[in-house]
Amino acid sequence: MEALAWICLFAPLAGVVTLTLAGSRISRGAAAWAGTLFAFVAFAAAVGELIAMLGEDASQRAHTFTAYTWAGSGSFHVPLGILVDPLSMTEMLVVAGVGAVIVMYSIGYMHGDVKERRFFVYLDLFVFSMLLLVMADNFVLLLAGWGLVGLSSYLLIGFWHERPEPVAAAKKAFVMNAIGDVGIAIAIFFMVRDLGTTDFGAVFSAAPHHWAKGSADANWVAAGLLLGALAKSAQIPLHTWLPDAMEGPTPVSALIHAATMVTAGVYLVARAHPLFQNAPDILALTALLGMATLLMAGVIALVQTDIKRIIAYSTMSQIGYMFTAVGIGAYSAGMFHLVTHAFFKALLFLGAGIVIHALGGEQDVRRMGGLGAALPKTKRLMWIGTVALIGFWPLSKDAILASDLEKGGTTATIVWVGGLLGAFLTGIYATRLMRLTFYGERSRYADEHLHTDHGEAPWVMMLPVVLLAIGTLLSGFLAIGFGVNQTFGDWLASAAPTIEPSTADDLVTTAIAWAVGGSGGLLVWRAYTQPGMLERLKRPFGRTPVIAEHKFYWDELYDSIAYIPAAAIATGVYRFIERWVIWGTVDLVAFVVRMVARGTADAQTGVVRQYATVFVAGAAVLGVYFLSKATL
Amino acid sequence: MHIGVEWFISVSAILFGIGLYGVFTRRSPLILLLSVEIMLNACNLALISFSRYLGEQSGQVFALVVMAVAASEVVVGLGLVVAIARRKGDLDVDRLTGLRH
Repeated sequence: MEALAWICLFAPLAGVVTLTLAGSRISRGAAAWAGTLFAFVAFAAAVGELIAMLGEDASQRAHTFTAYTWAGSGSFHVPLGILVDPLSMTEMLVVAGVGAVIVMYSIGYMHGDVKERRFFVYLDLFVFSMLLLVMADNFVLLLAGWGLVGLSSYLLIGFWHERPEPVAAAKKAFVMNAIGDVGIAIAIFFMVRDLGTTDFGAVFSAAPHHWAKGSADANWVAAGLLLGALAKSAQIPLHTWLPDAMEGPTPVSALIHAATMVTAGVYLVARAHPLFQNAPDILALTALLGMATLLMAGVIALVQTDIKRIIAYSTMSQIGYMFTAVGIGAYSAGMFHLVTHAFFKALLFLGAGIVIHALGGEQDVRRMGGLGAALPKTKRLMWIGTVALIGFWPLSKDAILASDLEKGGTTATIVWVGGLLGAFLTGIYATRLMRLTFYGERSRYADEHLHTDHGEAPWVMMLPVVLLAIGTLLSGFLAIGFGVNQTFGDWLASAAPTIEPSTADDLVTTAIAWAVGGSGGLLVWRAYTQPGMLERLKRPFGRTPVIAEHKFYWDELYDSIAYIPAAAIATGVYRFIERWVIWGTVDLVAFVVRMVARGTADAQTGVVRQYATVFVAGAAVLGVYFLSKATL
Repeated sequence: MHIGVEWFISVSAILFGIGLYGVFTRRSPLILLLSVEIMLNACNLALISFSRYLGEQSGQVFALVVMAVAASEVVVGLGLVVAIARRKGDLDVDRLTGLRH
């Protein structure tokens, strides 16, 4: 079904072009609905493609469609080609599906903003870029999509550019992502040099023959790709841009910084898994960095007070789980968590968006509290997301941890323990968020600013949240584990293999994960209900909460290793090189010219015949010279 | 009777000398321009003489180019002379020293 795949890819781009050309000729509302329509067209095409694919034999599901040669040099060609296989199909459905729903939510959320039309252009541009990223059939086109999602992310984070914070956050996100782009570019250089192609299939089949397993070249390629994945997916050490990105409008946070773009790193590792399998050290590094991120982000989420930043750190932590999954080779388990996470995290973000909307833009959880009575539907829907986040259902996090146990070995065991610890932290911060927002005494601020005269939210905002809640619940049935149902793993088997945990491992891990997650939730509930308990719990940790509030000083670290030395070098170069060498040379040249001119300017008398005399005299001298040289 | 190339060159040299003399002695810019034209045509004559002597056509082409340039030069030169005459009413090149340092 070639046509459907192209429609899916280009429908959002058509939206961008249409809305840009229409400009102010159509009303803001019409632009918003048109933007939504184009996203839904992409989703419909993706669903059509899925139906076609389900009708095919499992071994015949990978299709490559090539439009034309995009770039070529000698025997090296980069086609504008798309690959539709179960892995990219999964991503297409998530991107177009969750994307379309969130674009629809934006109709309500952005209503009345002066730049409403532009917002929908950017959103459609993002959906197109993300589809290009996941549908590309070679690394160069993937990098093009990779860069374009970075651009749309930059435009949308800085959407409210009247304030300085979003502008700074947008720049930070762009620069950190550029570091990752360089990593992917380096990996591509290796491919072009040694393999002469960047086509997925050709690279994956040729790579093991050219690069020995664990060799320096194999490690460089995998490390370059990993750098890109770490930057895009906000993992240690390139993670600090994601919390700042919450300065963007909430639908942007839900779409780009929770559901789709930030999980692109997981997709990249799963897609390029033959290259990562060829570099076992880098693969182990992936898992360990993921674990470090999930624990660190979990701890920071405990002390954040901005509702969106809590969810952002939670996102970072959940992507950490996905990285641990792909890092131990359980690719489809990582992809499964990606899919379920896209639903429940978008659900939580959009729910938070309704709360923020109802409070007139307030995001501080300390100024909320007791909103459950005013926003009962939102509260119930967000509970579905919270239960999913803690890991009760869907069982995607448990599947990752069970794979760790099944895999065994040092790395996987460390990751298993770390993951369970993270599940405890997840239970705490997820419950704390609900508790502080919806329960307890309503704050004075909320009393004054809450406005729900027109109901909780307009239907265009509520319907997407309901759809995402349904998606969250249904996505759990894609894979249940315990040997009951492995549909998702089987579906991805050809493109992204997995580790199938034994039923015993599954049962043990799930039981422990439920227990620690649940106990974390209960603990925090009691801590906020019983007076004094919170302080008693905090005491043994000393200054740790303060360090966590400062996000473990990563920003300060980057300042001291990157910004401060760079600024010092620049100042030094200015003071000594620029001021003395460059300006000095210019001044010297000017001085010499001025001196010579002062001596010779008197020859300019303005008398034409004098000039003519000098001219003729010169010509005469030349004539005599040439005549004396001439041999008659 | 055959007239050798040296005769033509001699005429050319004489013409050039006349032009040069004019440039050095006269003060009117109009006469100066005329003198320059004489020198240019002396050059043309030399070019064509050598062209014929050597059986080489490019000298003729050069001469044509020189004529075109000379025509343009006269147009510009006369234009300047007229403009200066209107502005100053005085056409002595020794007194037109506005471009002095």
